[in-house]
Amino acid sequence: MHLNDNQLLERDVSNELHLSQCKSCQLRAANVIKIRDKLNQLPSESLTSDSWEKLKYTYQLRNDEIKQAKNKKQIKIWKFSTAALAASFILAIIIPKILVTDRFSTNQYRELTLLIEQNNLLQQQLIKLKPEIATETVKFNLIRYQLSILDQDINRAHVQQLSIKEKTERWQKKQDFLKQWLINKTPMNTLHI
Amino acid sequence: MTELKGFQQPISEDVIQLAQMGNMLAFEKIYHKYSDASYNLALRITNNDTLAQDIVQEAFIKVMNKIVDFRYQGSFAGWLRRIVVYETINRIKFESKLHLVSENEFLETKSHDLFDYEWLDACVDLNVLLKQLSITSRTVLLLHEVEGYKHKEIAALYGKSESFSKITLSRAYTSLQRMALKQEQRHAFKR
Repeated sequence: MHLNDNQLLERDVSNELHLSQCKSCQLRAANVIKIRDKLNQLPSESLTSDSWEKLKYTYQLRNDEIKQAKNKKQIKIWKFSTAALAASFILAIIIPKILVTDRFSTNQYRELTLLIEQNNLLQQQLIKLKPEIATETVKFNLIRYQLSILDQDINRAHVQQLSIKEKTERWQKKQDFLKQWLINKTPMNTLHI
Repeated sequence: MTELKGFQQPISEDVIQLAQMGNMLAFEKIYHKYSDASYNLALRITNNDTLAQDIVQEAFIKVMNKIVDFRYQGSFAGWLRRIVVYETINRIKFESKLHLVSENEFLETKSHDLFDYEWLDACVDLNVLLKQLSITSRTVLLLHEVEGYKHKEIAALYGKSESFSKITLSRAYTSLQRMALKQEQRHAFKR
């Protein structure tokens, strides 16, 4: 039995034996090849010469958008975590104060609580500048990194139950860093942790 | 020796490796080598210049983002062409230009006379005839006959059975033959 058109268009091994013996199918298979050749000789068009530039521009634009979206997400997480950290420190100072008022001077506690609140406000101010920061990813990441070191140091002071004076010193250091950045916006060179 | 064209052109592994590291000059080389082939494939299928340019742009952005996943299994050009084909099929689906026929219409008929003679021999302008085919017929015909896709691969692209591809190709050839004969008759009268 002769091969049907579909078998001629996509031949498999089982068709080859018949094809090698049948003149009629060989002729039809040759016609398929000729028609295919014609289809393969369709005229070609070219893209405009500036198409690569357009593509490159679109690609970079999309990458920037993705990076900005990532930065926004990071800022959101940072904002939330720093606020939570500040709140937890205030609580950590107020609760022992209520419990053991007579052991420490109220003024020292008040000073430290005030310092934490100020730090929190300064950090909020810094966060408000996020559109400015977001465009300078490296700088922004460096600030975040340095702040995280300062926060770790503060955290350690509270966990190890260091003296009020030592805790105040660490909070003061963070406040100086925040103030310096907000005034000069270039504290990275001057900060020594 | 015949010069290799379009997706048949090879590209060095060094260029691919550089592109995988994000080198834009390497991407540019890849683009200049295959962009016209991609554009012609998209243009022949969609028959729409703006849409074809857009498809090429989207496909190459995908290539740039996914090139790190290329594992050298098969040719790079084949991998890139698959992205272009996927993008084209998705876009024509999205643009609602793809009028798919229901599965029960694909009752396979076994014709034996489509290639009894070379009816394209007298065809004056094949491109014009192709444009008159339905977008599905044109897509299947070009993918199978020009790009070398198998029925199985085309079926997978459409999420259909192999019969869909076989019947669509057979119908495309039947329509093309009818149009070619009409065109030939018109030209014979003019003479």
